[in-house]
Amino acid sequence: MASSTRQAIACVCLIFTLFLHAHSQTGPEKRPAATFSGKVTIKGKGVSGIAVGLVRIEDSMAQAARHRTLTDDQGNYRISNVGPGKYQLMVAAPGFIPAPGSDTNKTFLISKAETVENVDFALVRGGVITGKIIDADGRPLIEEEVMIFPVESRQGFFQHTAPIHARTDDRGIYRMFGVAPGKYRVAAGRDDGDSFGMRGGGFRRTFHPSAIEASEATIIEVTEASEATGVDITLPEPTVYYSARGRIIDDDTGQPLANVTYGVRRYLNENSTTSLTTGAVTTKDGEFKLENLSPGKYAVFIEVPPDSDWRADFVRFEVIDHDVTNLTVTASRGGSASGVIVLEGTDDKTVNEQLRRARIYAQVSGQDLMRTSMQAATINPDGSFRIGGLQAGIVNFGISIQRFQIVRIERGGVAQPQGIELKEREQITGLRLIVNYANGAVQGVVKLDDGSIPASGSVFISLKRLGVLPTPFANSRESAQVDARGQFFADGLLAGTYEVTAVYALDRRPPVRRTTQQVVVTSGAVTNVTLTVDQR
Amino acid sequence: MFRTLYKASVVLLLMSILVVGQTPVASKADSITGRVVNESGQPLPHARVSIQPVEGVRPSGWTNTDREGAFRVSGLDPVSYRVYVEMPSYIRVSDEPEIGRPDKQYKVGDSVTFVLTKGGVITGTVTNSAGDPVIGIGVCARMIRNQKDQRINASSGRETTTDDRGNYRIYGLPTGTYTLIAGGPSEYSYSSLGPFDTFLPTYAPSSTRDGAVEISVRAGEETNNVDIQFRGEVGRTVNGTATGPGTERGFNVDLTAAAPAGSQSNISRYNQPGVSQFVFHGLADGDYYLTAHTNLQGREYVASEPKLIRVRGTDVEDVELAVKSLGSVTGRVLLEESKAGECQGKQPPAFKEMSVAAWHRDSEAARSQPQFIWSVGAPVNPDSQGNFTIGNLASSQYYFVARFPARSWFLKSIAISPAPARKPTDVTRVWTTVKAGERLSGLIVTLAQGAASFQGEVEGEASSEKLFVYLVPSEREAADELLRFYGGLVAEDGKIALHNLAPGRYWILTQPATDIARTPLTKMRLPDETETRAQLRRAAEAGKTEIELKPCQSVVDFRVPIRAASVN
Repeated sequence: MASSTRQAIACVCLIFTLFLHAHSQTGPEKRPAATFSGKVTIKGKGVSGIAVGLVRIEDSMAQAARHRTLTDDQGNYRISNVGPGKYQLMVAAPGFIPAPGSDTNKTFLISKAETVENVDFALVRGGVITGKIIDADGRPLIEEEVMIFPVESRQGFFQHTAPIHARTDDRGIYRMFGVAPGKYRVAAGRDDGDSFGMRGGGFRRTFHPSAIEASEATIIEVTEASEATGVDITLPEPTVYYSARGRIIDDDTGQPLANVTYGVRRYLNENSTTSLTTGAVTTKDGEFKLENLSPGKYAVFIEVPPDSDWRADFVRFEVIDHDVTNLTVTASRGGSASGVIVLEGTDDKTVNEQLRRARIYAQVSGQDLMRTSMQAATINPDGSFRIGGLQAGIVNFGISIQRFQIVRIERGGVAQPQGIELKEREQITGLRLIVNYANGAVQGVVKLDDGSIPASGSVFISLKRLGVLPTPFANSRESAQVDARGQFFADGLLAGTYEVTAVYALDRRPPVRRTTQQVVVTSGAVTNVTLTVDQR
Repeated sequence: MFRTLYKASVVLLLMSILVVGQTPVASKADSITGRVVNESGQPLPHARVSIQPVEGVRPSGWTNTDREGAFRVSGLDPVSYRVYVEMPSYIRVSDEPEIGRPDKQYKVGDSVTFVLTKGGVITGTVTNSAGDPVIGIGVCARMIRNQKDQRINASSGRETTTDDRGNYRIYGLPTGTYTLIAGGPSEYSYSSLGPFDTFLPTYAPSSTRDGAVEISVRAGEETNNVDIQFRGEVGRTVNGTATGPGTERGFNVDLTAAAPAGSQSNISRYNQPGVSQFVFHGLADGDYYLTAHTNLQGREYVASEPKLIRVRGTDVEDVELAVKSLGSVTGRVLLEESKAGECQGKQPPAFKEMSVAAWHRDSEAARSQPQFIWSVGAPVNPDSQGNFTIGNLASSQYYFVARFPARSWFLKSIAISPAPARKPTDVTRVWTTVKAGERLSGLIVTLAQGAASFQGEVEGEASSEKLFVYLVPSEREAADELLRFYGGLVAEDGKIALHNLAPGRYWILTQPATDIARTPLTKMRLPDETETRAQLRRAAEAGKTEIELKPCQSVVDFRVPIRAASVN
C-alpha cells in the first residue's frame, strides 16, 4: 500500500495544555462553558484555514478532537462551549513548527466559565531532509523507514510530539519536512530491540552515509526552511533469521502439554529485555515454534490465563547461526496464596462492586531480579481470592484498578510490610489484604516569589505520603504536571498527610529550587494548596 | 491361480515404485524454493515470500529473497501450500487474479519462479486557489475501470500525502483508469486533529465527483502532472452520543451513505471507553445512516437501529443512538432415518459437523445497516441434542441454510413451529422477519436419510464458456418445493457432480453461467425468486431430459446434452 510521509510528521502539535479541574457544582444543564481565542501566524502574518482544536488529555491520539475550528481570513480563531476538563490546544499545520522562543508547551485546566484569550501560535517553516536509501548492490530500497535522531537530547523537547520519520518511495527516495532546527543523525533499518517480532526487511540500523556506530555518522544541520539533499544511506546485507523449536511438558507426568500459550523474550543486554507473545499455542504434541529470530539471546516462556495453577521457569537459549531445536520447557503447579480482601474506609456500594470486578495481581521476586513473575486471579463476590501458579520468592500484591491501593497485608494477624515469603509449591492461606479507595485530590497553584507564573517546563510537582513504608504496589510518591497558568491537579490519592513539593529549575539547569508544604488529604475531597518558589 | 499371482506381483511392483518415490531427497524434503524476477527476467531481492498451508494454520513460513532473487522456506510438513509473493511498488498477485493464479497449490520439494510486474506511477501537485502548495493533504488514486475496461465499484485505492512542495507520488498501481482525490476521509488517518478533516474532497483537476477526470495508468509507466487545485470547501459535521449496555466500554459508530453513489462515505469511528460523544466531519450534503455498535463481553453484539440523517447545508448535532441486543432464532435439527435397503449401513451426520445459518435479504432496507453486521450472525453448530441458537441477527428478513457432511442425507424441510400445538410453517418459501431484540424459537431443520447422488458429463464440445447445471423437480406438486431445486457449476472438463439430492423425478438442464458471483443454488433458494424458478422449469421441461432418483441411489456417467437455453 503506497504511503510516504506519515501524518505524524505533517501534523504539528503545538501543545498548549489546559488542565481542567472538575470542580463544578452545577448540574449537567448548567455546565460551565469556557471559550478560547487567539491567532495563528506564520512569520508574523495571520494564516486562514488552519485547523485549531482542543483535545482532552486522557483521550488517545486517535480520538477525534472534540472541539475544532478553522482560522478566519486574519488568522483568528475562537472555540466556545468547552466544558470542564483537562485539555490540550493544538494546531494542525503540516510542514510548520513553532517559531523559536514562542511558548509551546502549556496545559490548561478548565473548571469554570471563563474566557482564555490570546492563546497564539507563531509558526515558521521547518527544514527538509531528503535522500536515497540503497542496498550494498546499489538497488533502491522501497518503503524503508528513515528516522532522525537529535544530537542533543534537549533540543526539540516540547517542539514535536512524535519522532520525525518518513518512508522511501518506489525510487528509494525519502523526503522529511517540517523538521525543527538542530543537528541530527539520519538512520534507516531497525535497532535490535525495535525489530523484535516484527516482519520487515531486517536491515540493521545504519546511519548516513553508511555507519553502524552512531559516533561515525555524518551530522546534518537543519535551520528554518533549509533543505538538506543527498542524505543517502547504504544499508548492509539484511539480517538472517532463524527459528527455535521445542516442547512443553508436565513436570510431574513427563507428558507434553497441548494448548499452552507461549512467548519469547529477547535479552537486549543482561538488564534489558523485551517480550512478545503472538497468541500461539502448543500443538497436541506439546510442540512450539518461535520464528524470525535474529542472532541473539532469548528465553521461551509460557503465559497462563488468570486463575491458573501452572507456571514454568524461563528457558534461555542463544541463536547464533542456525535453527535451535530440542528445547524443553517444564511446567509444574506452583505455589498459591489465598485469603480475603477487606475494603476499609468506605461503605459505598458502587465502590464495593467495582472492587469485585477488579483482578488481584501477585508479583513474586525470585533470587535475582530477572526472575520476577506476575500472576493474576479474579476476586470472588465474597471478597475471597486465590492466586495459583506462583514461583518461590517474596510475594507482593496489587489490584488491577489503580484507585484501590493495598495498605496492609496481614498473615495470622501480623502485618507483613515486606511481602509474604513463599516456598516452592507452598499453598499459603488465611491472608488478609486491607485495601483503601484512593479518591482524595490536591489542587494547587505554583507561583514565583515575584508573583509571576513559572516558565513552561521549569517546574514539576511531587507529592509524598508521610508515615508509610513504600511497597511494590502502593505508591507513596505521586507527581503532577503544571499547566500554562501554573495550576496543577493530582487525584487518586489515599487519605493521609502529604508533603507537596515544587521543584523549579529555569531552563532545566541548576540552580534547582524547592519549596514544600504539608497538606492533609481526605477521601473524596479536594485539598487546596499554594506554593511560592523563592528564586533567590 | 496365475491370475492371483499376476495381481500380487503387480501390487508388489506398484508398492515398490511408491516406496522408491517416497524416499526423500535430503535437501528438498521439507522446503519450497524458487526465484522472484521482474518482467525482464532480472532478479528481485527483498521480495517477501509467504507460504501458508491450504488447510489449517500451521506450519507456515516467510522469507525475503536474497541478492539473486532466490528464496527457500524450510521446515514444512508434507501438505499442500499456497505461495504469496509481494514487493512494494510491484503489483500484488491478488490484484490481478487471472495473471497470478492464487489458487495454485504447491508441495514440498517444488521450485517455482514468480514474475512480478512493476506497478504504474502517478505524480502531481496539489495547490489551493491562491496557487500555494497544499502540504500534508491525503491524495488517493482510486481505480474506476480495470485493464479490461470493466467498471469497478468500491475499490479502496492507494493513498499518500503531499510533501512540503505540495507534490505527491503514488506507485504500485495495476493498469487501469483512475480518479484522483485530494482530502476526504482516509483509511489511515489516526490523528485527533487532521488538518483537512473538515473539508470536502476535491477530485482532479478541481471538481466534485461528477466532474472528475479519468486518468489512464499503465503498469511500469509514469503518468505525471496530474495536478489538483484543492477547492477548500468546508463540509458539514454530524455529532451525537451513543448510549446503552456496553457503550461505556467503548463503541463504534458507522456512517453509511444512503444513496448507492458513495462508497467513500462508509466511515467507521471508534470511541474509546468514557467518550460517549462521536463526531464526523467533512460530510457532503446528502442522506446517511448512522449506527452505533459494540459487543458485550463475549460474543453478543448490541447495535442501534440505523438512523437516517439528512445533511442539508448545516451541521446536524446531538444525534442520539441507543444500542440494544440483536435478534436470535432458536431451533433444532431433526433426523429422519430411512428403512430403504440401499440406505442401511450409512453413517448419520454428527450434529457437531453440521452448521445452520441465517442469510439476510439483500434489500434497500438492509443497505442502511453497516456491512459488518451481516457477518456477526455466523453459522452455528447444533449441540449434541441437535439444538442450536443463531444469534446476533440485525433487523432484516432472513432465510435459512444448513450444511452437513453426509452424502446419504438430504435437506427435507425447514419450518417454524412457534408453539408445540401450532402447525409448523414452511419458511423456505417466505422470508422470516427478525427485529432487533426479538427472540424467535421453534425453527425445525429436518434432514432425511435417502439422498441420491448424481454424477455425469456434459456432451458436446468443451467450450470456454462456463455452464451451470440444474436439477428441477418434474412432479407437478413439487413445482415450488424450493429444497428440491439443485444446481452447480460444470467443471472445466465438463464433469458434473451433485449430492444430497431428495429422491424423486427431475429434469436436468444446463445454462450459460451469467452471474458468477452468486452460486445457482443460492439464487434458486431465495424466497422471492419464483420467476427464476418458473423460467427454469419451463426451460427444463422443454429440454426433456428426465431422470428418476431413488433413495440412496448413486448415478454415475450420466450424459447431459447441451441444448441452447430457450429462456435465459
